[in-house]
Amino acid sequence: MKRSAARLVGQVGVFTAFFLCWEALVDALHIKPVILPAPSLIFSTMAKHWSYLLDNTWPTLFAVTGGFVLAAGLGFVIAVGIAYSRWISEMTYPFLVAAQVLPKVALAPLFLIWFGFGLTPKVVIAALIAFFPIVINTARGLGSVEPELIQYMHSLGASWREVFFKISLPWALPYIFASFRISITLAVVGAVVGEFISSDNGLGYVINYANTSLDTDVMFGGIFALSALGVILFLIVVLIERMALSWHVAIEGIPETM
Amino acid sequence: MIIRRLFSVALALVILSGPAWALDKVTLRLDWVFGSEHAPIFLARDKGFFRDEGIDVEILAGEGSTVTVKLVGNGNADFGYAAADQAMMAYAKGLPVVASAVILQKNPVAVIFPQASGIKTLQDLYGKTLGVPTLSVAEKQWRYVEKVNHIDDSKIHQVSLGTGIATMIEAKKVDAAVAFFFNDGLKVVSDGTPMGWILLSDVGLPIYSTSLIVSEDTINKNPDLVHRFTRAFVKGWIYSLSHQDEALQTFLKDNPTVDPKYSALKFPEVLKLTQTPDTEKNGIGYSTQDKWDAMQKALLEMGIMDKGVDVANVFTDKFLK
Repeated sequence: MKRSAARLVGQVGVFTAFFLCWEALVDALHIKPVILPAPSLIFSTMAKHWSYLLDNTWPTLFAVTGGFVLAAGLGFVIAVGIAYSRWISEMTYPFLVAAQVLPKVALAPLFLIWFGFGLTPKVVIAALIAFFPIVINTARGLGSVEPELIQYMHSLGASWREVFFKISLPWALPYIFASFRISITLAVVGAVVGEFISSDNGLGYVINYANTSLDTDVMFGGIFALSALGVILFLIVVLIERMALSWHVAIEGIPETM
Repeated sequence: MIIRRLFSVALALVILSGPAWALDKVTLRLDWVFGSEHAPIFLARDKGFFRDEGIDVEILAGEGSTVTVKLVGNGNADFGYAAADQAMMAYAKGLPVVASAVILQKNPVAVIFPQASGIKTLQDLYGKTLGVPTLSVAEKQWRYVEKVNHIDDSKIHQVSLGTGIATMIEAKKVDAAVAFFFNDGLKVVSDGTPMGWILLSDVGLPIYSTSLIVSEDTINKNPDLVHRFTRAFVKGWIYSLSHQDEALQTFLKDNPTVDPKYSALKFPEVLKLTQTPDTEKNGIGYSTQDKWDAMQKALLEMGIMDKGVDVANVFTDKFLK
C-alpha cells in the first residue's frame, strides 16, 4: 500500500515536471501563444471552454468504442481460425501482414466515398487500425496452450467446446487483454484520423478547426482532452482485465507481443 | 611581383563571382503544393527577376495558409504567399505579419457544381446536397454568405467535406460544394465534367485573397530587402499577364509531374483574379484601406476574429513602387 502511494506520487511528479519545464521554456524563450501556448494558458482555456470540449468528446468516444468493439469481434473470430487451422493460418498471414503495413491513413479520404459522411468512416478506420494486434495476440494465446493439458481433457472425454471455454480461452485471456490495451489507444488514433478527413464534430474536428482559425490554445485543449480520453479508456480496459483475471496468479510477466 | 600578380588574379576572381556572394538568400513559403496558380513566381525566379534585385530565392511548397502565416510570423520563412484573411487573423493573435502585395484580389472560394445540375443561383441549392469544408475557415465564409443572402440553411442538405472535394463531386456524393473554384472546380472540368460556380466574392463576401506576406520584424530590420523582393515578385505577375504561355511553360518545365491539361485550364482563371479597377489604376498587388476595413468587418461578423486590429498595420502599398 505504501509502495503504491509512493508510485502514484512519482507518476504525478513526472507530469508536473513536464508541464513546469514547458511553462518555463515558453516563458524564457518568449514563445508566442499562437506558436506554442504555455500549459497554464491551455488549462485556463480548457476550463473556459469545457462544455465545448465535452460536447465534442462524445462523438469521438462513440467512434473509438465502435471501432474497438468491431476490431475485437472480427479479430477474435479470425484469430480462432488461425489458431485452429494451420491452413487458414498459412493462407491469411501474409495478407494480414500486408494489410497491417498498409498506411490506413492514406485510404481515409476514400472511406468517405465508400462509407458516407457520418460516424461510419471513423468507426471503420478505428477498427482497421486496432484490428491487427488483437488477431495476432489472440491467435498466439490460443496456440500457446500446453498440448498435454488438451490431451488430458480429451482423455477425460471433454468436448471440443468444453476444451475451448474451460482451457484454451482462459489460457489466452492474458494475451487477449494485452492486445486490448494496445488496440484501445490505436482506436483513438484511428477515430481522430477519420475526423481529420471530414467531420463537423468530435475532438479531431476541434483540433483541426482551432488550427485553421489560429486558436492554438484551443487546439492544445482538444489534444489534452483527447489524451485524457485515451488514458481513461486504457484504464477501463485494465480494470476489466483485473476483474476478468482475478483468478490468475501471474498477471505480471505476461509477454506483450507488440 | 608574383605575389602582386596572384593578388590581382584573386581580385579578378572575386569580382567575376561577385553577384553570387552578394545575393541575399531568402525563402518563400507558398500557400499550397506547387500548382499553375504559382507559375508567375517560378517565372520570376527563372527569368532572373529576383537575381536582378540581388536576391537568391528558394521556393517552398506549403500546407495551407494557416501554416504559412505561422512560419513567416515566427521567422522560419522570410516571405510567404498566403491568404490575406489568415494574415489579418495572425496579426490579431499577436503574430504580426504584413501583406506587401495583394495578388489575388478576389477570393477564389466558390460554390461549385456540375453544369448539368441546373444550379444558377444560391436558392437553387434548396433540396440539394452541399459539401462544406468544415475543417477550414471556408465554412465560416459560406455561413456569412448564407446570412447576407437570406438563405434558409435548413433547406440545403449540408455534409462536411475535407480534402478530395473534386472526387466527391465526380462520385456524385454531393451535388455541389464550397471550394476553391480553380482547384477542385477546374479539376473536375479537366476530368471531363463541365462545371459552373458562384464566387462567394460575387455574392457579398468582400475579402482579399492570396498575398505576399512578410513579418513586421523583417520590414523594420530590412525594409530594402522587402522592397526589392516585392518588386521582383510583382514583376513576375505583370510579365505573366502579357506572356501567359511562357509563364505556364516555365512552370511545367520546373514541375514535370503536374497535370499540364489541368494547369493550362487553371492559369488564365487565376490571372483574372489579379485584376480589378484598383489594380488597373494603381498596378498589380495594390490594395485599399476601405477594402481591408470591409474584410475585417466581415471577419468579425463571422466570428473568426474576436477583436479588431488597426488595418493600416496589416497591409502596405509602399513596397510596390
